Amino acid sequence: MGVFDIAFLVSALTIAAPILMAATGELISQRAGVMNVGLEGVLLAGAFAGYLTMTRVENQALGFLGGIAGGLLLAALMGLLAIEVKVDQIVAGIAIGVLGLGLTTFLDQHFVPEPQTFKPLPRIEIPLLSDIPVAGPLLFDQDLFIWATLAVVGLAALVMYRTTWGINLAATGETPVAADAAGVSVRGLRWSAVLVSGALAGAAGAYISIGDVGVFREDMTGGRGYLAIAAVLFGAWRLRGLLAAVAIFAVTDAVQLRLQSMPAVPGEIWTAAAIAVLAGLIVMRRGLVVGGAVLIALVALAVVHPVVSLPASLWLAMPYVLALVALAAGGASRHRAPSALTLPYVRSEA
Amino acid sequence: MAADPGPDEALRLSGITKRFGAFTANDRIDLGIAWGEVHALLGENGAGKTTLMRIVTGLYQPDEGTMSLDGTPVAFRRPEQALRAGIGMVHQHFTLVPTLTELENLAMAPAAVPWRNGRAAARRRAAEVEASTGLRIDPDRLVADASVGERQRLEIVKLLCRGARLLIFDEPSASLSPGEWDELAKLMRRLAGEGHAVVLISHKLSEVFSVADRWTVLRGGAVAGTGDIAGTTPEHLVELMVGESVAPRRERTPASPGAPTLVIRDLSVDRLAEVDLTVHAGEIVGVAGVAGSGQAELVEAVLGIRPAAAGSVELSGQRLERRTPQAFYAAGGALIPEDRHHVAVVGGMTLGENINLRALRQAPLARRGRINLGAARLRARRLMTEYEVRATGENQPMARLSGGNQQKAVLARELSTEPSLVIAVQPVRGLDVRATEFVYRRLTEHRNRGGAVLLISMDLDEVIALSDRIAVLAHGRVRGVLDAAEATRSRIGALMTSSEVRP
Repeated sequence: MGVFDIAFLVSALTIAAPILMAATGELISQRAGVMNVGLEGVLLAGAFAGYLTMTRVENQALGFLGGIAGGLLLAALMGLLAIEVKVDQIVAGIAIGVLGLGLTTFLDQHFVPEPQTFKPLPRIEIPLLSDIPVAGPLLFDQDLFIWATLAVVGLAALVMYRTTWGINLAATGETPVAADAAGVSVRGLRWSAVLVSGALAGAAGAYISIGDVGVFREDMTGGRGYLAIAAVLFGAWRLRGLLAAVAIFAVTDAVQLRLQSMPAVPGEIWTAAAIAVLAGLIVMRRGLVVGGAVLIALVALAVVHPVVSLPASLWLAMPYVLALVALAAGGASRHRAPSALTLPYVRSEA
Repeated sequence: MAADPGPDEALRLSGITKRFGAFTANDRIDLGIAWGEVHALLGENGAGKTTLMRIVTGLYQPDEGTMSLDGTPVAFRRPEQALRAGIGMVHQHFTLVPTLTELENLAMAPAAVPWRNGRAAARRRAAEVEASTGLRIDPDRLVADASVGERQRLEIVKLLCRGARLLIFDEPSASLSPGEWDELAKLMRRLAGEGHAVVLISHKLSEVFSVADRWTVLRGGAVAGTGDIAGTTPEHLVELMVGESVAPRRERTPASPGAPTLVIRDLSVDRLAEVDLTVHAGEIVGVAGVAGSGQAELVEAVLGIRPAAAGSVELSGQRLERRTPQAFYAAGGALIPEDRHHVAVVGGMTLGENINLRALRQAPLARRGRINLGAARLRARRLMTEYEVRATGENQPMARLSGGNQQKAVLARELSTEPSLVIAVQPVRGLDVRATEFVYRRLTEHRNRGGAVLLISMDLDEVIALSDRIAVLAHGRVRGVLDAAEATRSRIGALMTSSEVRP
């Protein structure tokens, strides 16, 4: 049985959903000019708050609400530091990240000394449609969170590109003085963007704990928050780019999950990697020498098909390595960042 | 002498006072502005124009005094309130979002319900404004792709769309080409003709006399006078602004050019092509030309920031091979850069440090590789007096100084090292009358002492008034070099617009 089967696609989708949800929130926040580097901490807060709620009431809807509340709490702290106190956003974000990890670990030991396990979110099997081959199990036999993620992304697209609020959002992150002059409250807009990002990250965190596996473990988000931030940057602050970036990360992560359990690297991985590099070269039209060399090497590997096995830790690192490569390759698009990103707004310098 | 605006009065300020600590920025100001007039607000930098307009637009609240609009008392606590009442300001730095389209910039507004889309409504309002004023925008163009004049037009349309009836223009010509200014002047007249009230803040008397109906001069935070343009003269207004008669331009001693100090031969840099230019000791050579004719390339190539494709530069007899800024200064060059805030001064450092920047490696400031702080302090204080830099002390942060005093500090730093050549780029940009006069005097003195000055300016009057010889730059080429005696606006203008490319 090959690597790329339906189960693989389903697992990629499950991996993608929380990252996409958190990244959409982070995108909205960054478009307003607030970069929350501590997104990882917000995810953890959501994961733990959802889990804590579950241990008390054992109701998944309330659990998710609890997760959202946890995310909102840390996001509110970020908003307080970045918007009101005007602390350096990077420093504040690092603090939020560290706080999220430390606080959830501490509270977990304190309030839930005996780990508990819950049933994950039920899959909703849509009659008839779920019987379609490939698309059926992939799209019509999923849990509610996957659907919610799709709805959130659709709504975000609508709000960002089809409403006055979206215009104000872009203006606030790009030229806050213009938004202010137009009577738009820069403070209010940044607050709402940061809180939206907190709520989405909280929900995503809750999915990671109670929605997907039904447990909470220390640092269980495992860098998904950083992947989400990387996706925003790599996607050049556009929703479409964001989707592509999350897709790449999720597929890579799903691949590494598969490969961990395989004795040797199957040949189709090399082929797939070669196709990905080729597509990347065509899109970027840059780095032809390095990219070409990598491409030739991959094609050679696919043809020769040697029996290689790589240590599991290396596979684990793959999405992050890819995120780094993506960020380096996307360096040229960095000028598309909102001009006022991370800059506090102080009025009266007209 | 106050001309009564009559029954059409739009805005009336009475007894407006604004203090910042012990400093009174506005002192019991009375001002009346009528519908249908262009009202010029004049005054030197720091006369209180900006503070007053910030009060009118709701950015500041007055400590004393009242405002009334159409006879009804008003008090604005936020800019939105002033805007809603119909008072809008076109800032010197536009408040536009470059990454949005022109239409989206118009649609930007506080959204009552988050899911509202204001694009269609904005398009409709823009069409209405176009129908009534003839102001046309390109709705689907990115603001980043629009020219400065087009952006200013969008800014005006934006205010009109929001229902502004009283429009304040803050030094609108600063970034405009002469052609664009003429357009704007026509537009101001048209707006006034339709019953809007227009306030024009400006230093430039020629502009004021070409469009305004009435004038008000502020000096030291108080009203120095007000009246009809028809009944006054430029000299009278200047006198009111400055408080005393500015001496007419001094009789210039004829230049006594010595040996060539700066010799540029066949210099080609980017759009600059085969420039030959010589500046002798003891003369000021002005470079005239519209912005973007290659001035920046010329300066940067001589300085060594921009690599030249061909040609040579000689300074004080030394040929500058592989030019670097360090070599330029070592050979006796000095620069008064155009961008005061970002290039000429370090805002976060103190005045004293800024003044001494150029002298740190020489005795007596440098003592065995360390800086002699005592000597540095003394030197800074001496130069502050010598160059009339007004500050609380040499430790005042540079960014806190007014533009005029910053420029004086730059002059102190650059001229105190007795350079053989000074390149001055737009040296009086944004300065008031008195500071301008000071810069002119110092540059002329430098030339009288036998220094060479290369003056680069977009202001033709400035070039004519200061220079001994004038090189006219157009489309990257020197179109001609004139002696001051034979240089007239029309001759220079003809050369500036000449487009024929000489072989």
